[in-house]
Amino acid sequence: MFRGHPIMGAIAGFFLFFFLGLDLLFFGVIPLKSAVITIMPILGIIVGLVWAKFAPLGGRSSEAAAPPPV
Amino acid sequence: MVKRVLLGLATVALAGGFLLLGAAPAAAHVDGGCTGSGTFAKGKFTATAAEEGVVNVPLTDDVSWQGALPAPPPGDTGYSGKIEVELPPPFAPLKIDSWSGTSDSAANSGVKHYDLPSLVPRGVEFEVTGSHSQGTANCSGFVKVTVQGGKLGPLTIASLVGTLLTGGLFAMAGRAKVGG
Repeated sequence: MFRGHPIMGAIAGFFLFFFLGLDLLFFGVIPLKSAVITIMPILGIIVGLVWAKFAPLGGRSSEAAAPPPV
Repeated sequence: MVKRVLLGLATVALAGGFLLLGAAPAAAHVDGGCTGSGTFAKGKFTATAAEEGVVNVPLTDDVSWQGALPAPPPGDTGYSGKIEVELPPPFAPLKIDSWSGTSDSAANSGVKHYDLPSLVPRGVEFEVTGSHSQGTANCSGFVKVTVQGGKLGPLTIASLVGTLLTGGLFAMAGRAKVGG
């Protein structure tokens, strides 16, 4: 299942990609009418969930944390 | 390690695809044979309905405008028109002004003062659309507009701070649960 934190990943992904969309807008990369602004937060939820599934940062997996067999 | 690289490449490729989709060429366009122009007093320039680039307007100004139909109407005929700013889907366009009535005139002109809120971000490209119908004449068109000034306004700074904060949260979501 998820090695990381899926709920936090989805919420953080939504807002991170929402703000990234705003950055692109405010720096003139995309126009105001662009659908990218709408798509980015939805994409963020998906990327956040994928990010939480693989959880590549730090920590140890359950296999690594399990005590050695006696 | 391979998973991380693939994940990173997929994200960058997806984001790059969206950037390419969003980068439309800048221009203005008018259908129906109407003509029009506006002279910006502070901006010291005149923009026409056939403008080919993005019009960079001051935050506040007085515009001497004029518009004309391709041919005079046959007499007193009904007219209507509107000006809107296009918003991203699924939002409907934001109406700025509209007009209607009857007239036998084929042209009009005037001076309009506008004062945009100081919070309006400077680097953003707005697409302003307009239409006017009178008798058999149906004209519509659009022009792309940006507001003069530096791009680093309060909204831009707030957005950058939001990106950093949510980026931190996003990184935390990618930390593996210990013993989970």
